[in-house]
Amino acid sequence: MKGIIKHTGLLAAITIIAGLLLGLVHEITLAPIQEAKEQQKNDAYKTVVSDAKEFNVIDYDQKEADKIASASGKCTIDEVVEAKDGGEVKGYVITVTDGEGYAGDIQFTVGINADGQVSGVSFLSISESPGLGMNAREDPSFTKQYEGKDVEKFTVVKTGTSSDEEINALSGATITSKAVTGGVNAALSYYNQVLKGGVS
Amino acid sequence: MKELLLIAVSAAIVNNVVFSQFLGICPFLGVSKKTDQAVGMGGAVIFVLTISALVSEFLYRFILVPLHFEYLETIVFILVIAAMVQFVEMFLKKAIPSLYRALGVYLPLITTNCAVLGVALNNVDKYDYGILAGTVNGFATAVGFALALILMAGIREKIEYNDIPKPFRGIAIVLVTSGLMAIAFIGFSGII
Amino acid sequence: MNKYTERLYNGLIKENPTTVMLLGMCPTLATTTSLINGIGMGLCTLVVLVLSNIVISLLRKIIPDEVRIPAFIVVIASLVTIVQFLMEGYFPDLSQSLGVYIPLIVVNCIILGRAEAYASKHSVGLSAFDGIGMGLGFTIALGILGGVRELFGNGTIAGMQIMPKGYVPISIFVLQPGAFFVLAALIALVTYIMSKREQKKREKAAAEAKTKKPVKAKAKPQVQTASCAPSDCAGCAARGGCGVQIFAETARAGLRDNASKQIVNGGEPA
Repeated sequence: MKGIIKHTGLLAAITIIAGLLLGLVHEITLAPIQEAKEQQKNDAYKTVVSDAKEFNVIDYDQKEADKIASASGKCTIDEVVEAKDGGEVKGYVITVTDGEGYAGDIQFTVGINADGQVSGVSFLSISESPGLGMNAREDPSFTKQYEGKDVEKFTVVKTGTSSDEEINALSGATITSKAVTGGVNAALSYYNQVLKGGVS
Repeated sequence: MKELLLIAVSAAIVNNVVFSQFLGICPFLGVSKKTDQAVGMGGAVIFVLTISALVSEFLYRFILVPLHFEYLETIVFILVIAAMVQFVEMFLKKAIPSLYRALGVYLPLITTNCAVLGVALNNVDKYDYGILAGTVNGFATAVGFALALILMAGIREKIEYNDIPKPFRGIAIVLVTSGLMAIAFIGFSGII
Repeated sequence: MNKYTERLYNGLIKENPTTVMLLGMCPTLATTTSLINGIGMGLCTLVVLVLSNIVISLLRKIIPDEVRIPAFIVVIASLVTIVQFLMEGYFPDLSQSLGVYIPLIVVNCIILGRAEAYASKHSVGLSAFDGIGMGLGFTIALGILGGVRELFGNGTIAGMQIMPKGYVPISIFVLQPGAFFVLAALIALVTYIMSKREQKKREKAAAEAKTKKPVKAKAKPQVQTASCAPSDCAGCAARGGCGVQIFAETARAGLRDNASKQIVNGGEPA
């Protein structure tokens, strides 16, 4: 009996010390982790709307955004950023999460320029199969397909593209290609329905 | 319902825990020599993984999230899994002795099966499943594990009689076989 | 060779966790899609292993035998979480590509195995060196696997183009089956080299025995890589034969009395 109390006490003590230590480290690393995430986001903004200098997060109606986004699949809109260069609006950066990836959620930013064309796609978090779905991020020719086209909705095809609307699927990764395309469509339709013509 | 079915098929076959996610490789290599052992281990993993997925989801959603202690998830989950394995063992011994005799010896070995912790972490971090979907995912993942284990055991019983180049004897030929099975499982990716 | 360098040699070559002990197979297979990922995973494990060996060696006289396994698990899980925070904060890219395998270091049997088999019985200095040796052995093996897979599967090494321009990457190398094949080849190669060395030793011993007198120069019984000395059996289930053998033994012994002990001795590397 005495042994049990002693052992329990010791284990509890070790666990409490470990817990406290973890809390401490968590506090210390909280700032760098945030910073790293911010940095990653900023880099992603710059890659998708390259000619802008300032990026301001703007308020938006989450309910409305989710309604528009869900029309393009299992997507959510996480953030809307206005990209400016000296007062002139250069475009918008919309962060979307698509839940239809092959291995979990895919989060990425979609840049849309002042003409309503996609100006770039950059991945924030993606964990698809290496060598197949991961090529969405590794192989720039895939995301290039979205850029600079006057299109409202993209579709994925597997056998060569014949028009601007069609996106050639990554070989062996149709699911990933469809998920990314769904997210891009969500961002585009949000732009067309809400942001187009300026935000009041 | 359709969604749950999709999660189940995807976890058990398409994203097979052994061949696609590389979790639980060590028991897969260690306990796949005889079919009857493989069946026992598979059964024990199905049992524990389902319960641990359920319990860890509960703990995460009702204790860790409200208290903002999400960062303690790894330490909490592994302790819960270790404790739960002991409880399951004690419970089975008292309540269902026949099941205990069949699965008992495999239970303590499951604590260090990384599929159990891996599923608990993936459920909350990567997929953000709810409690029901998370439990289904746990069960289906374990079924996938049992499937891989039993298939492998069947093959290994035959490999024993083959003439294998010396350096490949033992674990190397098992890995080559697993690779071939993994190729076969990639073929399933077309079905979802 | 002094005690400390002996520890390094032991981890790097004699009991290399990947090619000889076959521990920690999950991260070995899952994270070696490129050189950087393999080495990154190896170094994370190394840091956790060294720290856990040090802490457990320091606490070895305080922790009672009966509750040592849960105590070890708490120590290891805390260290892993700390490493996870640091990775997220300072190496976000690597942290993302290693994903769930960083928290899963907790159930990597190299760590618990070394804590149980070595650190809980030896001094702090020796335990630290044991951790460094084992960790480096693991890192190098993962680096080799990652390098080979990246080179053939992607034509690059550490992101730099190595193969000529016309080379079409054999993507199976970076896909899941490639992991199994490359690891099988590496283990077979090491087994081959080891058995060649063993054979030479025996021949030499035999030759010596002939030239001298056949007194006691009987060749030593060959220590095969698949053998299983009780001391180093902390989780070598995967090693040919040993796992199931011990498994049967533990089953016979009832396994009940001290379940946690059996986890480690019974050999079930994660």
